[in-house]
Amino acid sequence: MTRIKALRILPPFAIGRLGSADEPMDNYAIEIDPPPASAKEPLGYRALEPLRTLIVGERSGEIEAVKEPPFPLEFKHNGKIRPVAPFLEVFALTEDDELAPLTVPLLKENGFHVGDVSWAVTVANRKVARRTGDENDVVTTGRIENNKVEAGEIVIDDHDVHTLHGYCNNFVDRGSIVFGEARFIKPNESHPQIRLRFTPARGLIYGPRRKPGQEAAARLVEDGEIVNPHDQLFEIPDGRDVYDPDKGGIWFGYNDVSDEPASGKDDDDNAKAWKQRRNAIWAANGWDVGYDNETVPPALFAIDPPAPSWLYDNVAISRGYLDDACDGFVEVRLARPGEDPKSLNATARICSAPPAMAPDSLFVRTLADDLDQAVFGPLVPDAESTEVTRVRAQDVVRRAFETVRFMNVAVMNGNDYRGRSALSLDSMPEEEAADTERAIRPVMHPGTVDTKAVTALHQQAYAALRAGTAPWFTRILRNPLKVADFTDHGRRKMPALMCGADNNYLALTWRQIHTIRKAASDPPPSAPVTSWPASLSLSPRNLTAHRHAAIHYEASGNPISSRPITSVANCCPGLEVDFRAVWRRLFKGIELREHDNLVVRLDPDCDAETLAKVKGLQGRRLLRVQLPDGILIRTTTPIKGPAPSDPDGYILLTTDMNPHGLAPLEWSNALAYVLPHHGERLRCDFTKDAWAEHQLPIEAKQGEPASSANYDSVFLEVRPFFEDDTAVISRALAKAGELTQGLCSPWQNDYRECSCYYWASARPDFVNVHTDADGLSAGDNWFQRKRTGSYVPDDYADSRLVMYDELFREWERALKFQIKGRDSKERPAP
Amino acid sequence: MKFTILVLPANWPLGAEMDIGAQGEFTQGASPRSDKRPDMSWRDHLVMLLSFGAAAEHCLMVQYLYAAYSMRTEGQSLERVKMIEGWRSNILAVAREEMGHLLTVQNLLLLLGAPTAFGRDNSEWASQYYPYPFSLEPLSLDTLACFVYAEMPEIKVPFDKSVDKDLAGLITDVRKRMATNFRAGTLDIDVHRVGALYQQIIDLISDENRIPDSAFDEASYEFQASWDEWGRGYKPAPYALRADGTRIPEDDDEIAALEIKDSVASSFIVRLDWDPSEPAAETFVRVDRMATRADAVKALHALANQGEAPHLSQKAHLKSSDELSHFDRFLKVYQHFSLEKAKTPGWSPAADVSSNPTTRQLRADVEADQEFAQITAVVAKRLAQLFNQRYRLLLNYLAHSFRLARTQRVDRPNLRAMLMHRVFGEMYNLKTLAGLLVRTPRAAEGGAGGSETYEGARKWAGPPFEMPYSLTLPDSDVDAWRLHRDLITTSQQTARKLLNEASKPEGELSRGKVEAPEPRAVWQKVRADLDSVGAEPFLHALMDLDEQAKTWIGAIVTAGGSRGAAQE
Repeated sequence: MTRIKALRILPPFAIGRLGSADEPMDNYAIEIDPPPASAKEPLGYRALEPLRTLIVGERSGEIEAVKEPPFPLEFKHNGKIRPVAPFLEVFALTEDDELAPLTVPLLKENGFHVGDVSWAVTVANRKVARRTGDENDVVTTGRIENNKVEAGEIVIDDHDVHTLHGYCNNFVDRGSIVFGEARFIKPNESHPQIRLRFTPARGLIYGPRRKPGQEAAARLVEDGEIVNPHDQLFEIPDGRDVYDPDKGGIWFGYNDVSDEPASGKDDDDNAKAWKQRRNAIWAANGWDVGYDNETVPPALFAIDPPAPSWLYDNVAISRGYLDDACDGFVEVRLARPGEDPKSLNATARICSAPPAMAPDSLFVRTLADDLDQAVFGPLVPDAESTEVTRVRAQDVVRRAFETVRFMNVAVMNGNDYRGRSALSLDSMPEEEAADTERAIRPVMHPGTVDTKAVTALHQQAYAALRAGTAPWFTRILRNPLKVADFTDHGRRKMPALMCGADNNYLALTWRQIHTIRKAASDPPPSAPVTSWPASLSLSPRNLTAHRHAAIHYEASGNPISSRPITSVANCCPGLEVDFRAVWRRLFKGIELREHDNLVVRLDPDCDAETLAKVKGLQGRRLLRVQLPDGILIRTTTPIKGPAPSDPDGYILLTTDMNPHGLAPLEWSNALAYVLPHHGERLRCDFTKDAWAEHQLPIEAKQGEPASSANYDSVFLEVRPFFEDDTAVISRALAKAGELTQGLCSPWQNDYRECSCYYWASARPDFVNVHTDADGLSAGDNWFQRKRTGSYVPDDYADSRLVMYDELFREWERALKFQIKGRDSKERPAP
Repeated sequence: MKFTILVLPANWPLGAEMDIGAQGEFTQGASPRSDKRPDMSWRDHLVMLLSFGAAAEHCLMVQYLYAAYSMRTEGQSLERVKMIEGWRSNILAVAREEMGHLLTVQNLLLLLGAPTAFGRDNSEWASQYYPYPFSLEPLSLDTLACFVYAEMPEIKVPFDKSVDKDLAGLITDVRKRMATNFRAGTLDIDVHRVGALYQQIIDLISDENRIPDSAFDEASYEFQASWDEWGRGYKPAPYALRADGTRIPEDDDEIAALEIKDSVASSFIVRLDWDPSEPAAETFVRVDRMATRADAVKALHALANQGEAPHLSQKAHLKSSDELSHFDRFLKVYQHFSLEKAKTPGWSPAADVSSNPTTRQLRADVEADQEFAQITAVVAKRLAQLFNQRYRLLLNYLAHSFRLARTQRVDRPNLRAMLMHRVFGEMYNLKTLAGLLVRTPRAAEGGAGGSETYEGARKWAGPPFEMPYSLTLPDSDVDAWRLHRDLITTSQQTARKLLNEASKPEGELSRGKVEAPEPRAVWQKVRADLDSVGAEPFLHALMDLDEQAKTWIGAIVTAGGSRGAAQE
């Protein structure tokens, strides 16, 4: 008999992709393996491959049929995007410490039957609560009891479709957001494994309740005529106007008043009341009244026009919109009647995200890279074979050219565009100029940044690696500790022109960097390698290998877009998840802000001794962490820029807002060396000053007493990143809704506002690229309404581009899937 | 080991040569080559010297590359692997810096209104300005001695007493080796130093009477190659300044200290876990632009110093370990190599790579002035042909990009810059093909091939760096593009040919004029050789890239050539 010792759910993290079509997306993959040696077009786009698709009967809840390839892949049906609805499979950890699918026969063998299986789904959307600081703004599954929302799970013990309703204390009565559906798939003889299917929502936008007599929406009219139909504001449809401002929430009309939290003489009664409510929330959170709770980037929400805010004095007043994205947990339970329902259980995480609009391309740094770093650590052991290292190094370079070919490199470089100042267009150099209050400078020489030429150079490097040439370009990889080096020496490192999770220039993970380093210094492989090694085993006996395999696990019927390899990692704020959120409570007792080192809350989920230690740390900044061997991990980096009068020198770039010229570092890389010390107490240095608006340096002189330093040291325990011996990100690190809370509300707003340098191969910029008669790259802006072959640069005002409200109304029509770098052919909607 | 600065005597005759006596002693002589021919103007003479200087830099660069590519770490101890990688890094750093020298000289030619010079002139006239006869050799002490000598500064003999004894010993050793190889051998050739040539150029260009101001075209400045485009980031990292513009001394550079000392990843900052006591492989590719005589003199001094100045650590603004001259680097490698050989006689850091490999059919009845190793094995021959084709493409792209400089706007993407990218792309191809060639058997079964007799037949091929019959671009711009396309097509054909020969028993060999007694055995050998180096993935990728390139060029040709270029 195969005894069930424990349960596991695979994959441990599944991404659903939003869409309003009734039929979920067929299963498909893209080629992940390196092209074989004989591949004729190894530099081309990855082939999309339809895979066997499980068809669930609507009534029966069983897998009634399997659609076998070949069949054409259609990402839209009748103009609606097909959602990606992943399956979550249950496995049994058997007594010989191996994983076996939990099937009906295995259940029977252990004295169980299907009826003993139940599921619990807990998801939430905390985007609004993240901004307002008000727990009453959390939208969560659960129930309403005595007019109050009790966050909780939805228990599923049948095979019906269960709608995941999200409730919120600040919603109208009986108001809810539909987060999607979950269904316990009924096992049958052909498909006996226990599995759940999560179907994400339709990508709808919700908003505030209109008061009687209030106009549906302001229109931009002149003389009775709508000025531009495209500027017609989106109307929240009936039934989706759920947010009730009269319940005390501050989301409708929310704006950052940290500079003027007190009511002034210009504030009307509404404004005064709003500020009072806001200040009360701040006080309840223990925040200084002037504390700026904004995300980075700020104002990631739909605002009253005009938009975007940075073009209009940074005035950003929330329209009160919400979306139906969510994240949380699914839990499977196995118990006989009368037994503790959780006696055998397992958990996995799910989230819902926008569609993968360029499904045949992968980003240069994905969530899978960051998770692999959490699994393996930042270093690559010498014992790893040269063959494996070389293949992984090749993969990084391949993803690099897959990313750059979607960028209008000249615009992203900060070039003026046909005489128009680069300051009027969005790019990293423009961001850098704004943040440092310095003149904008193109990163690379302006003449050298043709997209196809730069892509070809990357491909040339890839070709060399395929021949077994050792990487020679380690020195041009950006050091994660130097992401705010804005000299040309720093900015020209790779990856170039893109934003990292800390709002500085993007760096690869330490593990990716060390992969390339090792590939460069290893002796040549005994035979050139052009294919991945055999898949790592799921066997839990080797926990590291198991976690890696689990993260990349391909469940039956799940398209590749449900896996972390298709999720961007340079979260600022991200697309599928805001991975910055996962680090906030890594140290027991405190909660850091996701985008920098400020202690925003104390975390009561710790022992009394720790609680006593952390008392008083709220509002202070974590400056550094000391590892047991004495190495110091800093949380900030100096912002360096070129000296104006000496091109060979650099100066510290300080501003009034940032007098010490320090930038926070993104956590995923900064804390990569801390993770292996989970369970240990490490020395953490916190500023003595609280609620400082800007970053502070460490001030301690050698030989002087410790008391003269500007920091205090506290020893805090490091939490484990994963739950026990699973590949599930620890619940303590992120509750339901927290992995997506930093994302834009609604997410459609981010597609309009966030330029491609945040996530080029997920939110393309330059599409339909071809060579024009001048021999230069030409193409369209992905957001151009009409494809003319003449790129329209995005100044956020050009009427030739899709704008906010059009996107809110018709995002499924406006966003075009890109296949092989071109608009995919779609059947027109009826 | 510490070196003391060699003192340059103030009255050292300009252009004086250091001759080596029969006993290896050093004597001083006057160079006959400082004289201008009476049928040339001084400007013309200057342009000639610069052209030969460029050719000399080019020759040195490919010889350095060859030596670097020949090095191997397989089968070496971990300690020696690290050491060999260090030497290779240093030699490649020098080669890159030579590329910068080459570009700087082109800029100076433009300043003088002279044509660019990208070739390697093998004429007797030019050769008298080269440090030693051109020869592609795997790394050895003899090769290194040539490199050291080529970059050596002027040295006072007898040595000043402040000169370190070990240093003096090394230099004496190098000179003796040169004397043995170039005097006692069958050839009787004076050896020269690159520095001496540049000193002549500097002297001449500084002379207002011989080179008047009117000889300089300052308008050419904006058309010259810039470090910003060509430097690829190869220069020292910026140094720290205070807000008032004063320098922060290195030791007080708190910002740098923060980044290095507090970081667990400090090993990343020091590349490849370098032992700081070893010569650092930091590279400074100098590409200087010049608008005036003073600019030109300054650039030439910098260029010469980078080559030959001993111990540049005197420069206050550079970190002491960062910028070493070529002479420093080569001498250090020579020293360490000597020590390793003393420990293990017969040891070599180089693979058994041929000298002067060639794809040409050598005629037994024609006496070559140099020993060549004919490449006869199919895979090596095709890869070597590819190498030559890509080398030619690189030089053509380079020349074309310079030609386009006057017609392309630099403030936006332009064809000139795209050609520059192609130059670097071809460098990657050459690096890759060289890496394959030094691991591919040179000779077909049953024959060593070639005329080499001095060390017996060597096993592996090597990158031939053979020059085409001409580097002259067609006068018409559109024809220049057609030439690129033609060469790319030929390269594709070569790659395809090789793949065919590795895949079919009835390949080229059995269909061609060469009779193959056992076609199956032949193609199996070709397949085996191809697989053993893993060239197939690269060949397909190269052909894929070439198709893209042809599409690109096709659009330009259809439009009649580069927009803004002079239409012929």
